[in-house]
Amino acid sequence: MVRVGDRLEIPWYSGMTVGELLDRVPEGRECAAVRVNGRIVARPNFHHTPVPEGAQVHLVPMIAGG
Amino acid sequence: MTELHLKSTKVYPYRRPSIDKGYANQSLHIDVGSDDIETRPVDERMKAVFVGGKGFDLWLLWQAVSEKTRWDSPENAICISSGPMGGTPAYPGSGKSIVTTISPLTGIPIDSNVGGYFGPYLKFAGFDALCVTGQAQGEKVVFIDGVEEKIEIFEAGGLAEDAYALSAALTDHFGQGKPVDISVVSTGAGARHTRWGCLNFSWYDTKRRRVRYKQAGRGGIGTVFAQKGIKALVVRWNQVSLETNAPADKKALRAVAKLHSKEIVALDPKQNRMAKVGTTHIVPIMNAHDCLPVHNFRYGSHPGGNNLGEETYEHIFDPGFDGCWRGCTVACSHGVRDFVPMTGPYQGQRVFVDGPEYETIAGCGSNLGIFDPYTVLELNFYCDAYGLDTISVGTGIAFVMECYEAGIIDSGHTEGLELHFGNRLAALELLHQMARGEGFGRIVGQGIRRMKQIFAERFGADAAMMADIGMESKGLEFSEYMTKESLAQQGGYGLALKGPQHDEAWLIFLDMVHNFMPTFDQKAEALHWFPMFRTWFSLCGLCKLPWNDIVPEDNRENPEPAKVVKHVQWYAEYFSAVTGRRVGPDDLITMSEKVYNFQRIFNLRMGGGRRVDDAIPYRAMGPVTEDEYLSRQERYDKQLVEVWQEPIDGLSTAEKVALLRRHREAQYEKLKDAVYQRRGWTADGIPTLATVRRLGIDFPEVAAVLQQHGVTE
Ligand code: SF4
Repeated sequence: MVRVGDRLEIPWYSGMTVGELLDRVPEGRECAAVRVNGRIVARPNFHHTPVPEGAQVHLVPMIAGG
Repeated sequence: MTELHLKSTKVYPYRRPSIDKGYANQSLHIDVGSDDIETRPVDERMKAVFVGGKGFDLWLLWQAVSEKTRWDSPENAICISSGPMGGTPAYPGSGKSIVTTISPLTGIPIDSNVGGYFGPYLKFAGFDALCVTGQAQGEKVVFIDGVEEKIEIFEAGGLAEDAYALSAALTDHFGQGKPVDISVVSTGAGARHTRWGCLNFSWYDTKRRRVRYKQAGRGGIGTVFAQKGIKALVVRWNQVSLETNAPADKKALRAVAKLHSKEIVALDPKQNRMAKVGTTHIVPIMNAHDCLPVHNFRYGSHPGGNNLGEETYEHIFDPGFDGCWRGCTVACSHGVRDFVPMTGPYQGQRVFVDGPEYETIAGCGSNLGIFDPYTVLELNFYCDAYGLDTISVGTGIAFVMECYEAGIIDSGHTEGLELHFGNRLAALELLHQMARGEGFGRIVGQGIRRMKQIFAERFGADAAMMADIGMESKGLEFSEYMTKESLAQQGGYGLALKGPQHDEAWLIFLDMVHNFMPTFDQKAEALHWFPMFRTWFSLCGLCKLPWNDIVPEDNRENPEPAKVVKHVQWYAEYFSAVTGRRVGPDDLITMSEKVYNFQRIFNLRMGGGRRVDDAIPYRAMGPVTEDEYLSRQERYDKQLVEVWQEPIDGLSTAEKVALLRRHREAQYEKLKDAVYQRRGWTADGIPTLATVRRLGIDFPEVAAVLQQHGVTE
């Protein structure tokens, strides 16, 4: 399982990328960055960053800045 | 108590008024040339139109200067004000001071929103705003003692040059054993020799037992401060609670403050983790999205960029609470303990560095081709100690480095400094030269606009090329975001009143990544709403970070997530609870519109404020060189073909660069038209008479400025 936020749990599979995970999360496609086990991953890297089994993922709001 | 050589030249006793609903209802005016001190009432009209903070500053500055005033004229004023909510300990981000003056870089008003305790203490000592004019013979220290109810001016001799040592000594001297009661405003040696002087605003960190600093960085306010012969402004105040600001409705204030504060504590660890990493989390995100400035904004990413992000700095920052005002649960103002500089007057000594934040990392790091986090720390430390703005220093040196690498200038001009990108020691040496007022540093510290002129006149440099790559607008250096692929952010920079600083409109992600504003009208609407709402924070003494750096979990469900509407509502409730003026979210925008349009007309009065002044260098819009084009060829080729329907087969790279430029420059002009129209301005970028009437700022002196510039309806 991968935990997204506090409530959502998504079944994990070997080779799962952040991009594939976010395809299964409501509003995941609008997200510009996430934290996977605390580490920042930004959208251009979603499809080549693997998600470890049991990971905790948080969507990072990127509407702020500066 | 530190023994200092201070000779009292004036003592001014006063009766401290009670604070009433966030206001002291008077301003303080000090002429450091004559030692004249005066208090003036703040009336209901001033509060209704200008609110406080930047609004009060601009109004006092307007009255102090004339259209002939230059930055170094004695009548130029440095105005400091917090705002009605400034000094509230329960609501996150409520301790800001806003500073304005006529800038030595731009010749128009500059404003800077800064942390530290000065503004709130000033208000609690009895003054909503401070307006300092004149020019001292020697060096002066002004002490505003809210506890003893007196203001004292001292002649100062032999005080430390650098901001760190000076503020520590003054805090010790005036604190009478309670350093937390003191806040000091000071600058440093760099401010005397450059136009990039900043002000350091202090706060006392009781846990670490040391004086900490935040910077009013932009536009050379420190240069004006130094030129006036002001060594330091010191304020003393001794009690802060929810009651100190005398809010109209304490219960309502407590309730809304609790909501926001608790939300931050709950969500920041899952979102941006600012309490741990400050704004360093932005670095890897910008780097991945091709928005981190690299090599003078030529490129937007670099493999070394992630060395400068949160994963590095989290382990370097000294852990602990880092709120630049009491009770700020965002607590993002981190610092580094026991850093040992490898150059300069502190070489080999252990120092504490306040920072770095994102802008400093990008400006003094990636933009200079420096990807070593410790060199960024050293540049950060010396900029603060010398009283220099890290953003202008970064963008300015980046320009020089590109000129050097492109052969526009050579080592004969730089007096032997080999200013290649990535030359860490050369960048540091240039900074030390600025502080000493020596060598090539003297020229660089004049800012990019003047460097372009000097390089062309004295060195025969290519003026057209420098116009394209010199990242300044209105005379101010750009802050650190790559705008080539975001038209809205180009407008966010070019149309900003004071010059290209992101605090007015940070739209790059909303536009480029989220595509929230695909049409010109939507961009224009964003370039109306966001600058207005962001302006509002500076009217009230607030920090904008708690508004949208941590957002409610259900924010995405809102039809306008970018506005963080729930927080806007909380801010309206907060304002109502403090001032007793019942307002809704739309009223906050109208408040800002008044001050915003007033500032634009102030620019006009000082010789700016027109369409031509909103120009930006082409580097901000697109690739200047073939090399830049080729580095992102696929992107640019695709745009030419798909967006502009240009047949590009057989075109040389130079021809494609020129073609893209034609389209992008035309787009920017079209954006200006749309924004001016949305803001109620003429096609020349001047507020119409109808606009100033609607906003109730059609005072005779405002109408006269418009009339002088041919605006009669
Ligand atoms: S959010 Fe950061 S900068 Fe803003 S008031 Fe809080 S600690 Fe200071």
